[in-house]
Amino acid sequence: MFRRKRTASDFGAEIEAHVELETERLREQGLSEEQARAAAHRSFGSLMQAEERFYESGRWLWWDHFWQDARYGLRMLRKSPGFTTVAVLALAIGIGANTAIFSVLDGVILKPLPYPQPEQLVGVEISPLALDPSLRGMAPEYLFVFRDQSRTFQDVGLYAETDADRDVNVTGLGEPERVHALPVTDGALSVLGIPPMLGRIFSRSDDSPGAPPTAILTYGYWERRFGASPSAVGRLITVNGTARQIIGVMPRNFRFLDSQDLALILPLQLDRGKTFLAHFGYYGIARLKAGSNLAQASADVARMIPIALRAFPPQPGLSRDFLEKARFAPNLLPLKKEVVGNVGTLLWILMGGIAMVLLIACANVANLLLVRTEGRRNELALRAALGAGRRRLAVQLLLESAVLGLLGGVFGLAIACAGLRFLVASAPAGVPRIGDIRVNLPVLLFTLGIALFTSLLFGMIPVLKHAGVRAGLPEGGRTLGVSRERHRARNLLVTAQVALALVLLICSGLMIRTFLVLTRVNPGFARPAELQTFRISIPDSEVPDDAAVPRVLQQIQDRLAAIPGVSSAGFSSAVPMDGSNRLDNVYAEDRAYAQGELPPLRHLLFVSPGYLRTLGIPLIAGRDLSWADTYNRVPVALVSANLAREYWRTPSEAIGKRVRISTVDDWRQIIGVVGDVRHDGPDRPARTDVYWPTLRAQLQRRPLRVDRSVTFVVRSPLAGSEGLMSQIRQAVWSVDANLPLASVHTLNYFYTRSMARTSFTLVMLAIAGAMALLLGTIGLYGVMAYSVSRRTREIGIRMALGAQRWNVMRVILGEGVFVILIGLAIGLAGSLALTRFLSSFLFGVTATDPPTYLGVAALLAAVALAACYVPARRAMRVEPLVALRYE
Amino acid sequence: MTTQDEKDRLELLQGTLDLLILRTLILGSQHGQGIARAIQQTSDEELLVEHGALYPALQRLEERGWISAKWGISTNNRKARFYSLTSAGRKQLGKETARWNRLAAAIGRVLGPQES
Repeated sequence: MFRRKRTASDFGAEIEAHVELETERLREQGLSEEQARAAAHRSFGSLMQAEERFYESGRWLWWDHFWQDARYGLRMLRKSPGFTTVAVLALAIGIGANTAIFSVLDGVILKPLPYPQPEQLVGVEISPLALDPSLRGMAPEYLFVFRDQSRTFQDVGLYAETDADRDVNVTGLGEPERVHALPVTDGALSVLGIPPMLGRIFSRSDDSPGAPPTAILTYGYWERRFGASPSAVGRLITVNGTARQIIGVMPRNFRFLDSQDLALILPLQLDRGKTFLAHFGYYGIARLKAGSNLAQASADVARMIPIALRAFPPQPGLSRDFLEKARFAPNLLPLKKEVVGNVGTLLWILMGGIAMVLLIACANVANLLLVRTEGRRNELALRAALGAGRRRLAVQLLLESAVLGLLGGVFGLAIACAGLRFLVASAPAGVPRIGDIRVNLPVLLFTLGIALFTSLLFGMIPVLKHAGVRAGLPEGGRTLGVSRERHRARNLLVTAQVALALVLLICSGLMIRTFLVLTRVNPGFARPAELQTFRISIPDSEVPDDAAVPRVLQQIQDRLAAIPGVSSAGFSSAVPMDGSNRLDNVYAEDRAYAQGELPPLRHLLFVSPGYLRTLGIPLIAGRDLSWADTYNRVPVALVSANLAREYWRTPSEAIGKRVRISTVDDWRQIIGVVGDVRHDGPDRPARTDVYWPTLRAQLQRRPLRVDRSVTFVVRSPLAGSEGLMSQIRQAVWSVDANLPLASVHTLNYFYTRSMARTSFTLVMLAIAGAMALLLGTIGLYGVMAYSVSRRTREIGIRMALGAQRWNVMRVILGEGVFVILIGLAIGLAGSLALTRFLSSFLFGVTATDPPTYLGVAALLAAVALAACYVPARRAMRVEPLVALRYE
Repeated sequence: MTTQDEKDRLELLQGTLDLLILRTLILGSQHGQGIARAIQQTSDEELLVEHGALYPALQRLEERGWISAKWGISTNNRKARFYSLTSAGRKQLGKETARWNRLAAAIGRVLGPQES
């Protein structure tokens, strides 16, 4: 197809041969050489013409035309810079926004995990169906059984979460440092299939108890602390006071699932001989054997769960019967799903919303093109008269559109790069794989694709309208009447714009309502912006005796409370909305439990006296904890009001009742009932909480236990300021100078973070909605203004014939109102159909919330009417005489 | 043959040139100039083939696969491009001839009996 069948020179040779033959024949008939040659040429007609006709039939012609048309298109665009700027800008915004969201979608969801054969990797967890099927976790007994007996796993490993509490102190390398560390068993690294850059990774012997302590460095930490020296392998590093030998360094591009800023990977040593059942708190990861699938692996795990339950003894206080009643079941997910979680819906919704903006931009550009092509009717007719075929004209119009689209794509890419930075910075915490987001080849292809697709979309409309223009100039070039048909095309586009804009605006309206409802929800605590929080861990090396830990913490709390401006201070194992979860079954003494029956899971918090007051959690009945309760290990507890009502009807009746966690615990008397706290965020119902003293004896099957890692809260109007933090640091270090402060945030940080998904969706949809409104309004205004300007003469005649100014305005406005009403109706129907995809993001409003629908429709109608009013008023002011002289 | 003569000759109806080319080639392969000459001779010099129109027509027929071409040597030892009929061309000739005959008969009926 890309080669001509015959070259032009071959054709030329044939013609030459013909002329020679003809000359010879004529000479034979008696003509002289010159006469014969002249006659031969003459009889041929025009040689040039013949060659040209040959050329026209050549296959390469389309390519020549293509370049010619592309150059012509560029020239035409350069000749009208205003039109080109507006069109390219509208497209660039639309394409840019789409490219940005697509980059996120690609980086987070579409791109495979960066490991070999990632489809074989699975997250292996166990869920207790009878307790709470949404809980997932992994326990050591399963690791041992899976290693020995699995038929579907190549290998399997366990790892622990890398939260702030698992940070480790590294000493002996200059300044002491607190870094993220990841504890893993053998298998957890090897299943990923990424070999170490230097040295080796853990083997089965490294994670056996009693093995010499080892550690693996990440590339970043190796570069930062060891100057990227290969001799780091074999050296010793002191982690939490233990000297560990460095056995390997991971490569630069290695990332363990979604862990950020990881410095060290440490062996997680589990002792098979000391394993008790159901010590959940780990995560499992495995690589499937070739040919095995997830369902087979699930069945395999289901087979092995009873084996594990028989192979190990239960923890003290837990009966085998209890564990069987819990109904442990496999909960396996493809590893990518485990990493990505449920962020997909959000991204697809954003992609859809932004795609609508692009459609609106397309409609705008199509409208501009229509107007422009209208103005070029003469030119097109002339070209048709000069022999350009219908297809040639169509191709030329499309090429102009493609040039526009590609220009839009180029600028859109620039906008996308800038927008991505904003997106990545403002994405809610917990958007996974955020580091994987970048403009790469698939993204570039996507941009090229939508640039061409949109060109085709908006380019087809003028082509359908105009390419069939007849050869023959339109009479006189007058513009008295614009054909109704062409007008209909523009109105249709505007109707679509109004409809799309309404859908987007309703979506953002619903999100705004959701956000407002959320901020009005009482979270259960007061004025979070005034609460400064930070975490402290007291290591064994500082305070070896568990019982002495609360004394140190109390001293800190007292020093904090003494800071000027601080009204109160306290500490707790966790603060609201920090994402923590500590659950256990809580028994009530006056409830009857059948043999092996499990009471519901409750959330446990271990708090200091004063903590509840500091947060502003109201005491509804009874009294708060006291330090005497704590130190004397008095068996007491506080419960949230919803728990009190569930068991004892009213809060006051709950006072004096007794609860405990395991059947071997002491019973604990309820001394107070406090207000409910929405610990999981304002959009989630309040949990049922039980508050216990930070030092407790005979609770959760332990003789004595204390929290060494706690979150302090300090209420001060200066919360969040560096001034307060330096006073706080001094107060803490005046008690113990070796205690680093971690996770310094105000409570407001956790509060806003809990609504981050809502506010992010809100901001993104609001941006899309605003763009839609702006583009739609511009489109509507443009069409109305154009229509009025084309009809100036007609209006002048009407007025000269006695039409009232108000009538003229009514006619013009009526045309706009009609388009708007149809658009609104379609938009409302579309919203009813589409907003249900948004329903998982809504809180306190339904997806079909009538006030939102009506309010947004009214707003859009008002803006649209204003866009029509300006041209309509201009029409009303037309002076008949001026108008008639107009052309 | 003079220029004067050519004025009296019949101009070829559009489309009939294709038919005549196919008809000429049924006698054997021939080059462009030969085809033109054959048409003129067999029509007793009544039909004029405009040589400039001949080659685009040959090009068109070749593209449609009705004739094929290759370079060869003419009877008087000149290099020329020889055209020959393909089997598709043979079929096409049958169709075209039948159509032409129908058309000619119809035109004859419309014009009525001749005066002379």
